[in-house]
Amino acid sequence: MSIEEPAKTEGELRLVKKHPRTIRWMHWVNFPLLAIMIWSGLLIYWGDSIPPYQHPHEVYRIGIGHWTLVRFFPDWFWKLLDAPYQITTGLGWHFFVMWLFAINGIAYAIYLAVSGEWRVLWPKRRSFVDAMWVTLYDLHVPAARRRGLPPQGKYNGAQRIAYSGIVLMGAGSLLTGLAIYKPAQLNLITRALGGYEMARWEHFWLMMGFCGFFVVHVVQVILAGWNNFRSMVSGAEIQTVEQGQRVDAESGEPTGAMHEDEPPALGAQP
Amino acid sequence: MSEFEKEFAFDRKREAEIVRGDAEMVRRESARRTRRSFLVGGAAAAAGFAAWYAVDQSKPVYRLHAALRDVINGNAAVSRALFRERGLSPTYPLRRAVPLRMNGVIGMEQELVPASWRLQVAGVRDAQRSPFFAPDVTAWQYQYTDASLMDTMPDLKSGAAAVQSGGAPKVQMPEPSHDLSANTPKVNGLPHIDIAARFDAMAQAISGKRRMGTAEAGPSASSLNIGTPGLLLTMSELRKLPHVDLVTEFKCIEGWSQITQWSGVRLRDFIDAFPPAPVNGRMPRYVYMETPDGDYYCGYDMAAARHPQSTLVMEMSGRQLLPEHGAPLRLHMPIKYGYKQIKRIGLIAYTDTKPDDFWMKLGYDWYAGL
Repeated sequence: MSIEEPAKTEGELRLVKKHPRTIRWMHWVNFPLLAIMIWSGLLIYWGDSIPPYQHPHEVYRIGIGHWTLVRFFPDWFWKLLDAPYQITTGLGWHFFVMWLFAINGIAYAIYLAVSGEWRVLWPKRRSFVDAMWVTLYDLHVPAARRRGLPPQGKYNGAQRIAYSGIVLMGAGSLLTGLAIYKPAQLNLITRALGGYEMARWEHFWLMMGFCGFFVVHVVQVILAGWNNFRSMVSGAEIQTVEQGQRVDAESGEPTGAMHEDEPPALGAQP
Repeated sequence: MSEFEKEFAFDRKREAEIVRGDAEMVRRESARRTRRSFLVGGAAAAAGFAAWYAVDQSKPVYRLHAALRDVINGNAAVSRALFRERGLSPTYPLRRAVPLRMNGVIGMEQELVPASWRLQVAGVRDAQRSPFFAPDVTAWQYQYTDASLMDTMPDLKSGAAAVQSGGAPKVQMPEPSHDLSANTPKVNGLPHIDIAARFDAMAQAISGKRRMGTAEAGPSASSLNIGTPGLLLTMSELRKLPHVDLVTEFKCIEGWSQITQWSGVRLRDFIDAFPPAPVNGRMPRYVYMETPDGDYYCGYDMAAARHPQSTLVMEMSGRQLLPEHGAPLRLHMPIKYGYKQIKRIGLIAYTDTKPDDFWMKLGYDWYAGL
């Protein structure tokens, strides 16, 4: 992974295109949109536990059968969010921003398909094994540390799975959302998802999944450092000349970026 | 080209080199690009925040920011155009049905004396020729078992009707900009009555705690004027219509749902049996319903009212409707959220003006279509 900015040495560096402009825009636009969807959704979820009615959540909980470990969410959380009696605000925002969230997400999927960017994003057969080693490496498991990170292109196996999974989760949120929004007119979707209550359950856990993704994503970005973060802002990443370079044997000219199926051409000089 | 070659070619193209050379120069170029991106991004973030702020600060229309109200009305228009209320709500085997949760008593705080119930129907074609014709349906007196609570209530209907009398149903929407949360409504210029506070006091007297939103919706703009002619129907008249049975899922906007068995007559059969009088040469577009005390009220598109699953319910879970579920007559409309499924119906009126709606006034969607 070429995320560490090369040390402040003299000599040559290169600036390469990392993230296309379209992806950067869609990524950053999605952040406030998803935040509003989650916030407004929570204002709606609160309604299922209106205190005077004293009905416990039946759907939004962790438990098996009649046994319940946790119901969502504790009172302090609702108060922190200022959620009580804001259902109409939640519904209003949710059914407004859903359009923007859907348009941005669908446009992103179309862009990935048309531009070919899906090639560096979609998991490959070995991504799943790679993802395991990357995760063990990040968790500082000695065996994985000794083994080192698997070779990769733009994204490692874990990233491919995570960044493709998040697209699927977005699609899932749209689909389960539609199933909840129009369970009579679109009852085919609702039925396919296991019914109205099941669709609500799925919609809720997808939201929890987005929150989980957000935490891991932010931690990983912080660990990856400024050069990586900056590339999602400016689109460009600073690399050493050696990084990602292969040299044409005859002309001595660089022929392009390193490929993950190729051994890294360390030490090659143009 | 093999899949590998395609991917390799793509990777080479996408990781194109912008510049290479002296470290300081590359860093300068990167900084220049980063600055530019932060500036553009910052401007976009500011624009986004401004948009959010504009919506958040837009004047509420019935307790919902005007911009959000516009969008949910637009969503309703999209739904109507796409679905035309044609879809059916799924039905279930009887064994999956459970007794419905009791949820709210607005408009039903006092026990109604069953024998005193009549269904007022207004806007009916050829009403005068019906044996159930009443020259003034609003003159019908419902009787309640606890009169002392009734005394604490403002007489909403006569208050509203005193200044406006006439034959036709008075159905008019208040000005859309009328913000109920900002000032308590004045009833047609009559001396100011603090209806909200009195509702609140009443709700507290009954439940010992404040229930959400019951107070502020106030009187309906669509209640009938004194002197409105129409029909006064008894339950035995309704029972002459074809009996229907369905097991469907009741969905509350608060986020719970239950599968329940409902029995009664189709609303469309009722409309066919007591058809609306044409307005301006065509069928009126809406149906309006309210409780006998006029506290709770709902409006429906004619298409939703004529939906084959829209049912005037007399029995639930295989037994006579309980008072808390709206005895003697309630509505089940599985293509709408529960707040449109009015309990203890006292009036059904046909109208060509979009009727007032209790929860719409408290920030919810008028359409509420599922």
